[in-house]
Amino acid sequence: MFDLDAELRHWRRETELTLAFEPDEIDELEDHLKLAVEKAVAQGASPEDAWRSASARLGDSPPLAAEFAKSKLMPALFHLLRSWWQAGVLLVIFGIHLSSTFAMNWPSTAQGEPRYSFWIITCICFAALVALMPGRTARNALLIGVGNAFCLIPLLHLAVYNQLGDELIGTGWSRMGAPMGWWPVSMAISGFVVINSWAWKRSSRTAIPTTLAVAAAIVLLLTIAPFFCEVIGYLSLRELYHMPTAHEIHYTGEARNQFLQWKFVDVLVNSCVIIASWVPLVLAIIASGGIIVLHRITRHYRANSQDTAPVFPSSRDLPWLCGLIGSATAWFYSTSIEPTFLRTIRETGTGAHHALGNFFGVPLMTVMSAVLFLLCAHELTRRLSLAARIRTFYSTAIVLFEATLLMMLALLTVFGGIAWMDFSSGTFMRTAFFSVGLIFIMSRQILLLVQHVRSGNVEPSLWRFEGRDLVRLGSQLGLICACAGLFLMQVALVLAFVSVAMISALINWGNSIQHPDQPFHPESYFNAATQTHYPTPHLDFWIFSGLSYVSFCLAAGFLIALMLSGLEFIRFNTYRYYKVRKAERTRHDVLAVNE
Amino acid sequence: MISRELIAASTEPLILSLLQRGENYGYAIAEKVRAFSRGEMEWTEGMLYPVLHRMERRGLLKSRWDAAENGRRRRYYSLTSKGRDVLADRRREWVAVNKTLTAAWGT
Repeated sequence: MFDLDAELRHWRRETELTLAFEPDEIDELEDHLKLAVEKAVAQGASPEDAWRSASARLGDSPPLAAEFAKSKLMPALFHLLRSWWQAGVLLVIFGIHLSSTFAMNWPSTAQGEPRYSFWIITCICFAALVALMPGRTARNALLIGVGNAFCLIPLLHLAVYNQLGDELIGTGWSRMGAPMGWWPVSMAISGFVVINSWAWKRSSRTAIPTTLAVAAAIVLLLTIAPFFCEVIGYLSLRELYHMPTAHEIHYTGEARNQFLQWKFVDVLVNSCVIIASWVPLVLAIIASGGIIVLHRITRHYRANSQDTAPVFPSSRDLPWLCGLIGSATAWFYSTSIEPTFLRTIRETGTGAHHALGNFFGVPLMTVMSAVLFLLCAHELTRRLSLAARIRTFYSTAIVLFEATLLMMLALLTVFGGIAWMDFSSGTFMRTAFFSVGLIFIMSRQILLLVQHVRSGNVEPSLWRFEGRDLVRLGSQLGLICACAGLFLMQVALVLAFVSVAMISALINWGNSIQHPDQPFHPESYFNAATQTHYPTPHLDFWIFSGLSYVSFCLAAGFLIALMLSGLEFIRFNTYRYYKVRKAERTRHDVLAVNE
Repeated sequence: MISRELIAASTEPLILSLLQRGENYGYAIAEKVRAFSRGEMEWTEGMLYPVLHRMERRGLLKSRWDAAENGRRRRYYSLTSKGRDVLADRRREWVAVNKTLTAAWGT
């Protein structure tokens, strides 16, 4: 039996998911559809035929979305980030990077100084990813994938490492929480059962086996990975990945012995712990995301059209975003989790090194991109009057002021004092500044939200007087330029890294010619390293540092986009909620009048 | 059937002309176009709305939400004075093109 209302609901949901439409626009299209169906039915068509022809005449959702999105704020990013899962996956890359930098503190962790910041970051990343996944199936797939990975790991570790004898198992378990005895295993088994029975009820049947298979594959690979690394060669994947950041592992002259010792103990035992802790989580998230990606891509290819789900950042969100990023950076900084690049600069600088470390980092880049953004917020297609220019300047100044204020608050949150060199203030001051920053951000957002709801206007109130066109064009150009600016900065840095790497490679090559008895070998990086805390720049150091830095910047950039798109989602839905309520009120009024 | 390019070029003057007679909503505009062109102009009807919204942003149209006869919300579009000016210009252009083509074909 054909149900027109159900079809309409389904159409509406699909349309909303593309995120290319404002609620009003969907209302308008829906009214169009209803009118077309009603007319066809009145002429004698069956509801099903009427629906089919009406929706065909209205056009497919993705091309329509693309057309509607053209008039929205962010066509460039819209193409870059076609939907949220991509941003989500990038967020996870960001998480991985942080994890890898976290791992440089691994020795201290092993010595009984657990750090929880990594867990907090991972949990936040994961929660954000789950929350942002469009559609219940996607969210479920993610939860199931990660849940399964978590549950399978203790079991598989037990199975595999049991073959190695009690000693290793003992060490491994003690680090994995052996004081709890067999609790992890029993919990894993029950978790496995619960998650999958829950999932079977809730998710679509095709998604579950795929997710399960992928999660299981990840777990299996990770479990046997250390052995593979032993077989393949000198360095395990994890060591390679951590090399640029593992500054606490000294590559000293006698590194060969230390390294081998470290490698055997660490790879076989420590790897279990690391693998059992963060790698599966992150990889399972990616893999589950990958399933959704594939699913969506194939579906859209089947529909012979393009996936279109834009993000629409608005200038309004910039200041507090700066504040947020500033806070986050400062927080990472305070917890010793920061890119190697920044750390290097901070620690090799003299005198004003704290200033360098604090300001020549992500906060600076954020502010610079904000400045770029705002400088570009001009109407380029027509000449502006003097008054309009002054207004632009004025609003730019307000946004910049807010951004700077929040950034300052964030830095104060960490260092607790205004004086440049006084970083010794206590927790009380930090908490106080943090609270002030939070209160500032929250109250500002609430204020803006109230304003928007009252005015029914979704444009940023700060910019409204500039005119809608100006805001749209300005935001587009601004963000494109900001992205371009960040990109160029990254390219410049990469070039710098590459050139240094090439120079050091040449020097190495020259050395190997001069001393033919010491043939060029990757191992020599470790043997030849100096006694300093930071070894002389070697090829691997610079390459990995460069990669590490680029991945950080890239992920941070996308994180901005993700946050903006998350904000837009909230704004979009709040707006829709009030619109719907208003519409209901109007309908009641009309009914009352008719009665 | 009329080519896509020509349809795209004529959409804006067509909308302006139809709204000259008074305010109207999207579905009615699409219906009128089909009636006037006797089915010669095939639109993807959904594409009408982005055009309407763009025209509104450019100040050629203005819109308001109102309750339709059945209690549903409906968006009505009407011309602005700028829209009337633009329509006059477009009309002059299209008449000129029409005259030129007619003269060319008449020889």
